[in-house]
Amino acid sequence: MSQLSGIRNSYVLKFGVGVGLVAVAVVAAGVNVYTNLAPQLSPDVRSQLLSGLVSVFLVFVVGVLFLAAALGREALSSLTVLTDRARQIERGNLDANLETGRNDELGELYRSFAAMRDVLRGRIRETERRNRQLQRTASEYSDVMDAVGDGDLSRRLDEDAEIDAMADLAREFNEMMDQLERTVGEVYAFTDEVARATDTLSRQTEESMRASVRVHRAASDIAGDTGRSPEQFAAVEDRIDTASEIEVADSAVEVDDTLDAIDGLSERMDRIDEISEFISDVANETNMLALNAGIEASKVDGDGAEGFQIVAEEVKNLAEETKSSTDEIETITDDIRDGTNDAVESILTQQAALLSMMDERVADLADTSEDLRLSISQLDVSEVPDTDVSVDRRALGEPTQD
Amino acid sequence: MTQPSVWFGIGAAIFAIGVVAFLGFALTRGDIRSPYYFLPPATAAIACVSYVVMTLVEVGIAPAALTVETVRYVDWALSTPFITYYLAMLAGTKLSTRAGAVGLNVAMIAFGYGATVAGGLLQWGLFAVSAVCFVGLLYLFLSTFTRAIRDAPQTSRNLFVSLRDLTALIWSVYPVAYLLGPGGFGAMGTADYSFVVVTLDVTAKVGFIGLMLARQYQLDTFVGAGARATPE
Repeated sequence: MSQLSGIRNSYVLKFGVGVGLVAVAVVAAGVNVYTNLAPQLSPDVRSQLLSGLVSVFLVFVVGVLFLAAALGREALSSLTVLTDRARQIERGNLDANLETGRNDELGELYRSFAAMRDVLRGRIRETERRNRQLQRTASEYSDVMDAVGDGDLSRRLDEDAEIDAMADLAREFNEMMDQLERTVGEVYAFTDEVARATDTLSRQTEESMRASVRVHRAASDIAGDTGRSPEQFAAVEDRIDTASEIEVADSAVEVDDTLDAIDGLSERMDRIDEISEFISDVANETNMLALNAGIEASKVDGDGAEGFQIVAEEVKNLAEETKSSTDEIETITDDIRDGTNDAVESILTQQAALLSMMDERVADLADTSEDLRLSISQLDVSEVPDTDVSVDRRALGEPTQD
Repeated sequence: MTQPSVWFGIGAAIFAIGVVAFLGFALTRGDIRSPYYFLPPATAAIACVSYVVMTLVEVGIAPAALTVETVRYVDWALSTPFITYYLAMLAGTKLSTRAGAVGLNVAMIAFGYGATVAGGLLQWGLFAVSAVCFVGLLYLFLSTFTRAIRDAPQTSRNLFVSLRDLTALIWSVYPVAYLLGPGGFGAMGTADYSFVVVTLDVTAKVGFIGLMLARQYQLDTFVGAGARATPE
């Protein structure tokens, strides 16, 4: 206000000095006229001249004073009022009264100010409304992300957010969550598959053990029943030995393959663990960023909104990154599934081969025994010393039993 | 040389125009029952009537007891208190202040009239007392009234300040004119003095009305505030 009164005082001073100078000039002109004419005039006419000059001067003074009161201050006070209103607007009072009934330039200036103020007020209200919206959306998002962070993968963000950046964010996040949910579902399904495959594997192994036991018994039976024809026995023994050795060697190779496949599986499982951990981190971080975005939004003015945009952009990038991790998980899961299928297939193939080989051997043994019986009965050979028939039981995986 | 009657006649005509113009405004745009609207034309109407009478006095068809001086001072004694009261009302001063200001105003005119009819030392003594009354009135205008309106809206203050300045500045010329006129040092003759006084009267009263007509939008703020302050 002191500045305003300063402006006013300086204006009044300038105006006063101007009027004073003009008054001095008018008086000088009057004195000039009077002194020029007075010597030629009679005293009566001279006094009339003086009277006239004085009255003219007084009328001049009255006119100037009227103008000073009416126009000078009016124009100035309209400006000071406008200055005062502009200050009020600057201090945040957007309802400052800018009404005027004037139709001159100053009235126009008032109306321009009022129009500017209205636009400003509209913008500010819109921004405030958007900020509230932003805050509300951010807090809703934050809740959803919290729930997701706690493990509820079915939650999704509302994609109908009025602010584009938020809607983009929600879309990206939801897409990421869709993939994550799908991937986790697949991991679960895969785990079931592995369990089933393991069951099959153990069943097959049991079966192959039982088959080995049968082979062993058959061999023992043969050894027990026939104490004769050492040559023939030796031949049988050789055949069985050779067959067992081949079988065991093959089997060892296949088992190694299976073990490798399972090792590979476990490694990949570890990798899945790492990735899951990463996803969890990302979810937490996304959450934090969304919270930050909410905080930013709460103090948004013009520049702050930009700041929020940056945060939202970051959250979006993070979501994209997470999405690509999820893609990676999918790829790995596919690999694991393929690996498991290979492993299971290899085990099944191996088991099938083993069983068919066992069957063949048993059939062979039966044939050989039959031949042996026939030879013995035909030759009627007397007692032959007992021969130690040895089968590498251990190589067949059967515990030694005596 | 132009006769004073011509100036008086012109003055009466200007006052009549002022009264009609303000009444027209008050009736169409304002509220004639409000003192904010009926006081200014009332003041001008008094002046108009007095100037008609002065013209009649000058042309010699009025009662011989009436002189121009008497009619002029009766006019001032009636009309200027209205102006003072109006300013006090605009400023929103207390009733006691308004009464004091009006009393001072009437005293100033009365002592001034005394000075015109007295002679010698008494004339100057009465003139000095009248001048003191005027200084007191100026103090009320510039200090007391202005303090009272300090908290009013800027537009209201604006109109008050303009009217206050007009009144204070123009009224200050009256004693100067009196001193220079035939009753004082005699630098001006009666006719020129009459001309100057007509100019002063017209400026002080019709100028007052003209200013209000030019700022009618600001007068509304007073009427609104007055309506709020004094519920009916």
